Amino acid sequence: MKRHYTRTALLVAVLFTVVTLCGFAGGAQEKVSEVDITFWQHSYPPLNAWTQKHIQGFMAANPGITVNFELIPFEEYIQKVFTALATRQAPEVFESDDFTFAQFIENKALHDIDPVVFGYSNLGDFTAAFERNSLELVTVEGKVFAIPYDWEAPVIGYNIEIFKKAGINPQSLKTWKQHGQAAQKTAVHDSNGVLTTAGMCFVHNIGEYYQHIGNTLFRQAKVSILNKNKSAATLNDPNADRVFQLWNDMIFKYKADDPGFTGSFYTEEFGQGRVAMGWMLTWANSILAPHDYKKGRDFDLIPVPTFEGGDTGTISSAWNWVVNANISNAKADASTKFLSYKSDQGDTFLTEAGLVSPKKGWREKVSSEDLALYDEIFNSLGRSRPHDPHPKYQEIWKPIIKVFQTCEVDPNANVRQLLKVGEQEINDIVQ
Amino acid sequence: MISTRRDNLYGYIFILPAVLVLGCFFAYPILKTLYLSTAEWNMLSKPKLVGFKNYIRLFQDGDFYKSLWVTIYYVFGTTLLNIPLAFLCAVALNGAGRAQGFFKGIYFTPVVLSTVIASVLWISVYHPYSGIMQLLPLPSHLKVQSWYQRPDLVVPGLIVFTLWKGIGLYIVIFLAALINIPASYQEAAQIDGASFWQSLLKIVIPMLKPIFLFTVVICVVYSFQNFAIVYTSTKGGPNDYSKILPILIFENGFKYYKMGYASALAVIQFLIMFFFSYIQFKVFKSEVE
Amino acid sequence: MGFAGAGRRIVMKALLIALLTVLAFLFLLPIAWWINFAVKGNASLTIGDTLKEIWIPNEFLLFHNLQSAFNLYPMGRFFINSLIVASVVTFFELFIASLAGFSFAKYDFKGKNIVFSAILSLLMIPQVVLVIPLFEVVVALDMVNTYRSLVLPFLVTPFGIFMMRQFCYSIPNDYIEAARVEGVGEFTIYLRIIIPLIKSAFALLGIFTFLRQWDMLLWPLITLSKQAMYTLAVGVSLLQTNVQVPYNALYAVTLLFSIPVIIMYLLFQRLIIESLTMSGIKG
Repeated sequence: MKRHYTRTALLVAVLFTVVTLCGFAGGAQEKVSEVDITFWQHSYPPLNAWTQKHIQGFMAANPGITVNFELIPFEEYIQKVFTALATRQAPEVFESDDFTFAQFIENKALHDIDPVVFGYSNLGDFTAAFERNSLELVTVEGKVFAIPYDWEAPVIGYNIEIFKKAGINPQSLKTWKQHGQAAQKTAVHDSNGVLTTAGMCFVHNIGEYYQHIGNTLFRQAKVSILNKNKSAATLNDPNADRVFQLWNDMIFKYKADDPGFTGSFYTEEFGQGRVAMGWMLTWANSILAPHDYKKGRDFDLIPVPTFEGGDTGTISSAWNWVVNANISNAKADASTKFLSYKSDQGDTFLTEAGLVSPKKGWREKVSSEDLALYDEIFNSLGRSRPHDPHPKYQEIWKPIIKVFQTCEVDPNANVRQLLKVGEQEINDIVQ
Repeated sequence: MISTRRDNLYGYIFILPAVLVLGCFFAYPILKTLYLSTAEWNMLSKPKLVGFKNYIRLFQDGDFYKSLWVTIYYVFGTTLLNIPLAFLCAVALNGAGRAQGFFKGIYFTPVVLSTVIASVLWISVYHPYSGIMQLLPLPSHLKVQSWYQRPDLVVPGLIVFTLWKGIGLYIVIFLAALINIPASYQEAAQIDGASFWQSLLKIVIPMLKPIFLFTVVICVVYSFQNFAIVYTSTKGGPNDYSKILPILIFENGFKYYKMGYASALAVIQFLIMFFFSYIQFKVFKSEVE
Repeated sequence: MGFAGAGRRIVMKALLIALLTVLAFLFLLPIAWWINFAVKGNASLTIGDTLKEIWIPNEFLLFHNLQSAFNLYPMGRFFINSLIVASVVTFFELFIASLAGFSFAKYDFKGKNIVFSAILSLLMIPQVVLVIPLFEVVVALDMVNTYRSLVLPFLVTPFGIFMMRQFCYSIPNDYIEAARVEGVGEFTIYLRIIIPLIKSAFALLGIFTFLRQWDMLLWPLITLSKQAMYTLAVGVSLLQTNVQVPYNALYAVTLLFSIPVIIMYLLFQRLIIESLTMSGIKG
């Protein structure tokens, strides 16, 4: 019996080895066509199906072009793209967030998007086809290098029930101080002092949210990280104190927030009614739906409060579709047409993927019921301004995130001192 | 063993497949890493040679020293607990008779589970609201906040998780080695008057020296390299208090797009690990080295 | 010995079993929780006001959770990829590593220590920096998005060679000498004498290698760009979007796919048991 066992194992091993060496790649047979482009999208379930559908539509309308669609895990998407670019294995079309965009531009990694191929006679018309400056950030020296999609602006989401019980009118929260006091009133702790219902959830566990939230807070406090030519840091500004003080206060003074409250984004807890208020973005709505958590019934939105005497605007952000610079003109044109097609599907982008596209022309095709969910956020987009990051954006934010994180754990954080050190570190980076 | 022509011939032939595979795939990456450590490279443009600038910066980098300290804390903590506990467990299992297979299976189960998901699970384990921590009889100040959020407890928290996840491996290794030692050796010693512990110390442990060397070296090396566990659990936080060297390297390379500096860090980490391994081999100096 | 001695032996053994049981309970706690998550519906992931609610699931949605994962992505395909890659790598690692380990342990040749140190040093290079250059090698060999790229660089590892070497040390030289006196060829010595003697090491290395390949994430994640080639680890990573993580599906799927590793473990364990019952070694 033992010999039989060994022989089977050996046979299986040989079979598998042969399969391996023959490079059995499998998958759908790729059609031989004139132009072949590949699109890498980071995986986000509502978006996956939407993209799949529209690729089929595009290929039907453009018989000479084949689009290969690959889903990439979100976690290391940017790292994967960089590895591919470094080894010349990058696809024709991929994605970039606002921050990485500056890196790509500085290294000439992106192909410009021809307005004519896209469908407009000149740059002016092209820009006018997109909402409120959304193309501004991605236009460099008169050329457009990315198409923003998934345009986000922050708002504050609140739990209707909790506020009713507390007797507070959420619309009255115009300043961070009022907001903090309301958060203090609505927060609940258990007998061990552990926060069980958060008064206000900032996002602590996902790295880039320090940047998302921080950018808006800096704008409100009228603070700029770098000076106009981006040659020196201007972080050590007394105005900046209130940003970090707010962060610190929400945890230690108002006792309304806690970095350990949730493992990632707080939507789970929000859907369970354990969060009074939270920093919210457009896609959060599509996540709350499966929890049967409805706007107007269970939760609602208010604009982000600001500091006393501060700016009432916010900073928007977007994910962008970009085209690889190192490809043939035929492929570049095909890619541009593909992006044009996709950006025209704004109505289904909202209803199916739950995201807001900045290209105009879709709002009329969407029912007012679907829109009601997003109008609030869409209005915030009006007060938003895209920010313009430095190519070394991530590095510059390292010391700033350090200050945020120190303020999260140390009740007696000396913000002045931290900012002084932080500014010095940033100067080391940009100079 | 006398070096003979046969030894030379067959010695080389037998290591040939291994050397071929490793050389073919890893020679270039090693050389490239060395090269990149003397350059600046953001992966999108050509590398720019800058001589020893990366190394000079490295030695002045506060983040590097903090990371080094965290790494040593984590590595030593894990190894000093892992190996002795695993060995004692294996000894205990060896004497447990029939129940051995059952217990061994249980201790080994965490090893077979997906590392990434186990890390995600343990984030919840430490969760103050509904984590397993609430069940255990610990003083309340240890339960109020997740261990992963506390700068002073994050590394101990990671060590506990690493032990849970990995000790089964070492228990199985020690057990396999113990099985090879005929019980007669120990029994003979005990008949001669030695106690159980004495026979353990004087006979079993020396016989297992090569295995001890192996497990200690492997444990140290794996802990040093434990990117997956730590990154998934805490991403190096809070405030860099769990940022072991591999995470620092990963961030510098893939987040700040400074592959050159990351390569220099990698070279330094390699030298440190090599140094530690060298010491371990000397400490376990058996006739085998 | 006497009666008192035997009594003490029983007490010691009982104490031992008790200790082992407590330890086993602690080990099982997180696993029980894992199963708990895998079996519950999404809405009830962490919350419960009483311990009973948290620990004892009141619903059995395991298959529903598995279904949602399989609906999202072709987990079956990922599973097959992982199976093929892990099996092939394990098969080759066992033989290449044991051959090399045997050589390092029992043969003496010029440069032996240097080569071994070089091989061991490979273990100490942070894998993170090796990804891009290794990928360049893969690109140069035209193996992108193939099984070969997942298998060939890992056909043997320093870990395996090191382990085999250490286990080979325990083989008495007499057996080898005796065989040589009888005129047995070197390779036959390896096959007929060495392998049976280190069966437990084989089993161990087999399990470890299989596990390592099964669980390997960074390399396939960064280098594979065709979904059809994704391994299980990458597939699970697909489920972990930055938000809206279907935790229940995640836990259910990972539970399901640790079964092959458990099977491997049991299979290899049989090998060890067989080696124990095999009486002695041919003289």
